[in-house]
Amino acid sequence: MKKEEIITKLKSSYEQIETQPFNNDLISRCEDARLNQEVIETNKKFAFPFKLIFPIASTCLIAGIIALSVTLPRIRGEISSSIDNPSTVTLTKAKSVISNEIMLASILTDNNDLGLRSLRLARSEKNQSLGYEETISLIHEYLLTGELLLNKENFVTNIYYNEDENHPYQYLMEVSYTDDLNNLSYQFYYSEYKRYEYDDEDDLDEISIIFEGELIIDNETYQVNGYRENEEDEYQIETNIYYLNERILSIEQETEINENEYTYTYYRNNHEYRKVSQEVKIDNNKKEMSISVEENNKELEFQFEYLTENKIYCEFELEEGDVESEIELMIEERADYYIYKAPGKEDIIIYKD
Amino acid sequence: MELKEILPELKRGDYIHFEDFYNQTNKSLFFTALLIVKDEHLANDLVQDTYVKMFEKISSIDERQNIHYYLVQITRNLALNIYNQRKKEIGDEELLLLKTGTYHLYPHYDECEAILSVLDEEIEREVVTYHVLFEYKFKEIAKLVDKPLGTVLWIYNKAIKKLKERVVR
Repeated sequence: MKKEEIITKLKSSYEQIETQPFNNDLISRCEDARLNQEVIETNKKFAFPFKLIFPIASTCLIAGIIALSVTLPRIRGEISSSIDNPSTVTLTKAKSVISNEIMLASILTDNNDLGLRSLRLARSEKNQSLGYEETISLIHEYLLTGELLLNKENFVTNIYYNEDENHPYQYLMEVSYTDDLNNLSYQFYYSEYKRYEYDDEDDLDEISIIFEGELIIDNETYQVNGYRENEEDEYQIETNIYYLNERILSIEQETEINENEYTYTYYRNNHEYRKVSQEVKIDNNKKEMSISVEENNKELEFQFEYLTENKIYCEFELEEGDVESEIELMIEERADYYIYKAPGKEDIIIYKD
Repeated sequence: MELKEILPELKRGDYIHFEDFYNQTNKSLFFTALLIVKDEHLANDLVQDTYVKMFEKISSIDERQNIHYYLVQITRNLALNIYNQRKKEIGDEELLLLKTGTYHLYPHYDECEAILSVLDEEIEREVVTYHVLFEYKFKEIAKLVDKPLGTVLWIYNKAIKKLKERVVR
């Protein structure tokens, strides 16, 4: 029998069930219970020692903190999945990846003030190509976000069983990122479950993990949904972020050992208006990153190669008016600033503050 | 009138729409209890006890919460208490019948019984009932039966597969 037929049959037979009719005696039992509960509550109020409120609250708080740090899982790094085990929550590689990608999203969206917004808006209003200085400024922003990808040790991710009833989800992921320039954090309340996909012969074809939840950044709440799949060392994740029921961002990610590919698609009024793709590779301990940005029918591409820890080579095409030229840029990181050097161009210094 | 509209009245001790409230909820509560205790009279008693329990704490009930779900939670807990009590009192053979559900579960509810009795596990009957008949979300069911969401999804899929195979027209 087909699933729909069974469900319909079950529902219709349930509808026909006749149960015991209402009996007025129940009212008197309920009223007794209601009145008794009021007496108990009143007694409680009088009996409660108000002087103890502060010490009790403090003790609970301290106990809570100790419980969080000692008994609840506080696991960083790559640990095996435990979705079916109700007693612990562990951080899998996939979860760690999600935490990082959302963090990057929070940095890349227009909803924060990292200087990107004004630059991009100014550009889209003028609908003109970027000049050299503006392009360097843009490269600098993307270089910094790329750095975040590479500095995974700066992420701290903790996952707990959610106990906050205001957020009806299974888990709470708390993520923070700290480096010389950034101090960012967010909370992600979410639930996840397995989705089974069957082939034409009804055999199990694929299992993916569906997640949905609420992301809280700077007291703003965003709705999130998505899925992840993994095969051996390869992960594929898609995350959609909504604000006031309107999608503002989609993130697609494919990650393998030493290789990460991200595509961020930005939406405004339900229309795609910007796409940023970022690929980071580590090959023989050599780091490489490429970034492409599509907006206003224009595409910008940057290639970064990390020559040493503080020296980065960058290649890109510059469009100034009708003239296109290929620029080879050397970026050096110093204690307080970055210096951008290109043949035939003035050096540009960007301070870290 | 909707349950959430009646609840504030009940909190104040106004019972004018209590019968309406009862009619909208009692069948789900009865069925919840019946799934576990498998005794029509006992299930009816548990339904009555559920409302009394609700009134014992009515002033602290959050009016924004799903009251239907709240009541089902109470009924299920009351029924499980009875089930565990009976488990201690009855013999192994009867317990086996109770667990496997191979005896006539719902004497007056042939159609539902015919469908649900093809399932092997009690938890499968519960998950199918909560999702299909009560229209609860899987995450609500997971909380109700105290199992991870993934497990509930798996139980549901397994149960539906069995129903597809075993229920004939």
